[in-house]
Amino acid sequence: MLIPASGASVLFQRLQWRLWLFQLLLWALLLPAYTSWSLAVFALLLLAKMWQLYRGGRAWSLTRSNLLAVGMLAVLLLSARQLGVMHLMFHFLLLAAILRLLGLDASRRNDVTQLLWVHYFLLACGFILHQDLWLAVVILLGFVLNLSAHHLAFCRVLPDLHWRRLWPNAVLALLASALLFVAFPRLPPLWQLPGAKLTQTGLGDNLAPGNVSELLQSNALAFRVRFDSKAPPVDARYFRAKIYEAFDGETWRAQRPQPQVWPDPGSGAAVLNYSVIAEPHQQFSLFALGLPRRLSSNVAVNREWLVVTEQPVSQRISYQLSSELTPLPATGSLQRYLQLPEGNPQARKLAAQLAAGAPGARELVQRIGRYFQAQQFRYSLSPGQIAAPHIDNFLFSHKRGFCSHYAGSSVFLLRAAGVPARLIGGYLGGDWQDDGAYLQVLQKDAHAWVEYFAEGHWQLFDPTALVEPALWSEQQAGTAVADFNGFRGDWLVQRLELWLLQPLRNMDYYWSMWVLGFDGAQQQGLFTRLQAWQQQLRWQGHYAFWLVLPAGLALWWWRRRPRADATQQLFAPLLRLEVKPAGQSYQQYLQHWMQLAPQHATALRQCLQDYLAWQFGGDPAAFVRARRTLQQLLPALKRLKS
Amino acid sequence: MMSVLQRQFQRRLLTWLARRQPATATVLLVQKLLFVFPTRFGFGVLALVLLLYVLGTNYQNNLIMLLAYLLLVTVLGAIILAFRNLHHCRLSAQPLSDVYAGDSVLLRISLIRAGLPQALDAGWLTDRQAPALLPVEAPDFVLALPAPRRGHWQIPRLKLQSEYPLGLVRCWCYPQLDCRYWVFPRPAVAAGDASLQPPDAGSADEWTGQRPYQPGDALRQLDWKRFSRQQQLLVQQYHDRVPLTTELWLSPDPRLATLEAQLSDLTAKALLLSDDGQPFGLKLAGQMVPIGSGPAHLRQILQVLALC
Repeated sequence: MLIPASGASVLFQRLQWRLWLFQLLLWALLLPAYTSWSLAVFALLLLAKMWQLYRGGRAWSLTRSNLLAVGMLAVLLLSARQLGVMHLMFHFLLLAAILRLLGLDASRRNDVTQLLWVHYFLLACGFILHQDLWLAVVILLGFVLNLSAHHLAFCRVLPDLHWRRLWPNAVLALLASALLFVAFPRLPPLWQLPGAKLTQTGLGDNLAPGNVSELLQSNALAFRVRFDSKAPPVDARYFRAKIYEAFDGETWRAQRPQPQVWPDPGSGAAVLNYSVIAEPHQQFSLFALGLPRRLSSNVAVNREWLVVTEQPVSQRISYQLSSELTPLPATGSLQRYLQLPEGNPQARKLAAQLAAGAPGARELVQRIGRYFQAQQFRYSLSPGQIAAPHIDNFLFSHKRGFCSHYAGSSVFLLRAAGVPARLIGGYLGGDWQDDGAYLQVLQKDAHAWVEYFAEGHWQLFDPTALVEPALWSEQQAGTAVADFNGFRGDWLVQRLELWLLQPLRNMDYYWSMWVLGFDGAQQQGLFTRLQAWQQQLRWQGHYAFWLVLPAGLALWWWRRRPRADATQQLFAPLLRLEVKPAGQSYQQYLQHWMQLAPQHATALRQCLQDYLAWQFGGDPAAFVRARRTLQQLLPALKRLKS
Repeated sequence: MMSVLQRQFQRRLLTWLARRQPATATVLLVQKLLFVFPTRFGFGVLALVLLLYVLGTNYQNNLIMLLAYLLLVTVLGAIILAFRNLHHCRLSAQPLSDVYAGDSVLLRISLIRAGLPQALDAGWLTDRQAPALLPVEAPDFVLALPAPRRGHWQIPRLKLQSEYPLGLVRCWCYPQLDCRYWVFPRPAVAAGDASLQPPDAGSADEWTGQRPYQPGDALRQLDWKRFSRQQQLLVQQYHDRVPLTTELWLSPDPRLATLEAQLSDLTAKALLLSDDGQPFGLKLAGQMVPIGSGPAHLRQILQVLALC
């Protein structure tokens, strides 16, 4: 059984193809981390490897690989600042892996093991960029691919792995990993690591009408919420994310929120518990209802009651909150909420008119609302360009717009009338998914509203909802096809989204909830519950033990006692009727039966022939035929014997 | 310094192994005899597991942790798989032939198990140097062992090792098989001794066929070409010529200075006489082998010479 001389080279060829395929997968997985030019270079190198494998070409020499590596490294280091530490590392590692594969030689075993090691590491890095279920499945498949290459690297002959032998091992390995995942101690982050540098998505720090209208047409997922108890109605589901306080006449700007521990004001109102799974948006701000009080440890709250993180959210994050749906206590100086740029004289005049005779801020706000309703303002997602001065033109000539127009104008009017006010960016409403199990909030649910200062608190005011009451109507999944004026959605795409993507999104949600969001606190909770079960079980413990142990032993004994072989099973009914002397073969025994029952001799002979065909010819169908014949004969033979 | 320590360690290891597993004719590789330890690559992957755990902890990324656990389970599984690769294999050894001092004795090692070990390396564990391991490609394989000195020797401990299936864990064992081989003195005709001439090439025996090898057959009659092709041991058979009738006794040549030289001389003469089909006997100081002929007789003579 000597390996033919080509055996080793065939093995090595297969190993290289698997490694190549794996690198292709890595290239696709790490796509978001690379710039277009580096992607092109890596693709070319992979193509070169494919060509080399296809044509059976020689491995690249070390000099050539090193020259290329030096060139690439120089370019990479020049662009290091744009790339950021982590992306630079991704570049280095993939470059090293591809060049190593291009120069792979069967005689250098260490090269293969190093390559496999780097592959495992890069695969894990894929999880920094992707956390959703489908890509996780792809990464797991990548793990299997690399493992198979790994196995091949240590084979001397082509392995014949049977799925039947592999799957118990695979299932065991997965179970053991899952057990480790649930039970292994978890630590808080040891130190800060550089995050991935990606473009920000979602509500930005600058609120210009243009970028909002883009957002309002995006079906991308923003975050998902599950309420522990009854969910608040849609008109109370204002998820705050940003506070835009500075206005330059065209754009509203938010300050970067500083995380800060703030004492719990604890007004004693009803508390709403919920957990949020937010998609990565590369920003610091997160989403919360009303006044957030208790938080999970991975988020913080700042002075203005916004929930924030210490690092830009670069991967899916899950956090728990308790909120009170009450007006927010005002903190610090209010002076900056009165700042206004020059210009918009008509609006200032209108503010003075509305404020004249109004007893307080509340009355003024109601008058502004009534003004919008009375003056035939319309809600539109594509109102067209509004020329400067923006507020005056919107209020007096254009009169069509969406949330940021209405909220921005309201804040302008309030500030002009001397009431501290600010523009709040966030999300409103959301769609219920999976029979109301969780709330799905998309980017198109982005919204802007007003907070004005009255009676020592910040009060919520949403002028847009007065113009477009549909915003406050509960949308059920399936009826949520937005049909706003000017919405540029394709009906077919919407349907596809509903029937195909939504079930997948639901699965993805539970994946995020149970796997991505599993943390130390949940682990503790699980252990506590297990202990409680154990306590419950303890008093019945020994009864169960004494019942289960003998049953288990009996089962074990029964399983290991010698099985009656198939022949004995076949003839057992006959043997019960007529004893077979020891030393007699079954052939003789059946012939004996033929003498006992000559009227059934033909059937018995048929049975004998089938038996012999099975026993000596190895024909399983003959066994079935013999058994059937015997069963048909049995009643007659029984009658004969009795 | 290092080599001294190493040799010391090797000697300790051998005495410990001798207590743990005394020589037996066949060895069943059970748990007691098998050792497992991660390879350098195995430690590398364990370091990767640690690295991924730290990475996953710092990024609070459960999926990286999951991959770290999956890798850890892979390493743990590799221990079991590497162990099962060698477990319950039965070993036996047999020398292929007797040899002369200075040659290498070829030993046939047989592995018996349904489903043979994969990617196995084998070599000898001697106290002189680290074992040189050769890849094993068949259930019956031949290992050469240098035989520098005459005598009847016990084979040294074998070393079998495999890193299958993932190269993360090495499983190895040092089985001691109870198997002895003969090393005869190296034949060397003393210079100037013309009493015995080799037979002419023309008078060679007539080839009559082949038969399977039996221990004791002359090494030079083995069909080596066939062995290298098919791993099958066959002996060339020659038609015996009519034996000469003169009786002949071999005894040490007093002109030769050393015992080894005398033994080599006697061996050479015995071989020549046996080739000629001449019956002869051996007389030594304390021993005597009566006159006889044939391969068995020759072997008896050579064994007496080997043990002198």
